[in-house]
Amino acid sequence: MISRRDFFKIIMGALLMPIIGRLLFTFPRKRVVRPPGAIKEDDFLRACIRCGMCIEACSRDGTGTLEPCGILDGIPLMGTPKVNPLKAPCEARYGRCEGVLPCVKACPTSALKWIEPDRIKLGSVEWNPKRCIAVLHGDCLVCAEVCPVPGAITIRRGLPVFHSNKCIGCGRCVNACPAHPKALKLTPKGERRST
Amino acid sequence: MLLVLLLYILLNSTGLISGNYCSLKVNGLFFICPIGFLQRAAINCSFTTSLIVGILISVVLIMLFGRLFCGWICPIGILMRLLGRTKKVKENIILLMSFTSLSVLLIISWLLRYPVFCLVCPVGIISRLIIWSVSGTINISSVVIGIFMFIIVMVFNVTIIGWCAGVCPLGALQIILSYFKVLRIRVKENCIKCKLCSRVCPLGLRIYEGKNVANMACMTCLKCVFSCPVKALKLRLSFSH
Repeated sequence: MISRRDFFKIIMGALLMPIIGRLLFTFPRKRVVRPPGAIKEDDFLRACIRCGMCIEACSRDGTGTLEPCGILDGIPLMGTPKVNPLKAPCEARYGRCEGVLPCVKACPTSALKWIEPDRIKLGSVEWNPKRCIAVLHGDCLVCAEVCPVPGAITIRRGLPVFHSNKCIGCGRCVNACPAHPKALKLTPKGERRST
Repeated sequence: MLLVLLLYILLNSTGLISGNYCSLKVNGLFFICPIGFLQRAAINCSFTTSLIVGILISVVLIMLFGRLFCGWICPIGILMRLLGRTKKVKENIILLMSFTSLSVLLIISWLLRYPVFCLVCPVGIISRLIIWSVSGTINISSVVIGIFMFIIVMVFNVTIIGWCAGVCPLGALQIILSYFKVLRIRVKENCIKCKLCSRVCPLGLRIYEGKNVANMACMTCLKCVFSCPVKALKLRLSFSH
């Protein structure tokens, strides 16, 4: 009924997808800033089915900061959501999404779980003084002006000082920074994931 | 497919439904891709309770109407229909293939603890591309991955075995579930055994024999019904095999 050639075909077909997936899984991966309410990274990669519902919900009801990870972020992360502050800041706290969280409500597999607004911390901001206009020319404190968190960016002698323990990682300062290569970078350092 | 897309845009603009092929939200009720659900269940050894209603509804729909999704909605299935130039195999092999691919996928995703298929699923990637290009949020890397997966599937189609003939786990699940389906293609007595239906069928099914196995794998694309020279094939609603 089944010849050897057919048997070979069946085995080849059945193993193709898992083998590609296994190969892709061993590639190196980067740490990216996840949307609010994401569970721990390993569990997140297991739970997320890359359906893109959170990205769609963010561009419809939110600010449009979420975008899918690409090849450069590492192949295991492909298709999962990340916060891109260059497009828009995440307004999950002190903004239009506070207490609403459309991305969390859109997630079908509970890879994003509901989180109280005062527990949201997506990461922190890294400051590069070599590019900062306040250091090079002076008279620029746009980051301190747009920051909604009291005490996250303080001013000392005309320069901004970043307190990473108070920063919620919303990315408003990164979005507003007028320096051409941005002097600020949003990193997942110090992020608080929901359990 | 264009009709489905238009309907989607119309309903999406009214705010009634949102999402894509991987998961669709209709008025607060989630319809998630059954393969994604199964992989998640295999990985965590538990179910997400809020999804069960949607999964049950889609399983009942598949059991009643068979592989309508593959023939009329899935972008890869539509391309298979248009191309029609794939490696054709026997029905028994399609059935065996679908069981093998499903079980291998579930076992491997359980071993790796990672949704392997969702990473490379060409159906999801290409449908997301289409829907994001409609809504205007599209980026270059997803286009590159989409084209890459499309080329892999097409090469696979021409060289080894047709993608829709049980290799795709989504199709495999639908083949297995459509054992009791109602929407079947019937062969009338005036069939002249010209085997034209088998030649135009994207899966190469021997429809003229009227066996249940052929009906299980049938995508209901209706190419055979339109091409029959004596109009011996009819789409009927009937429970019996």
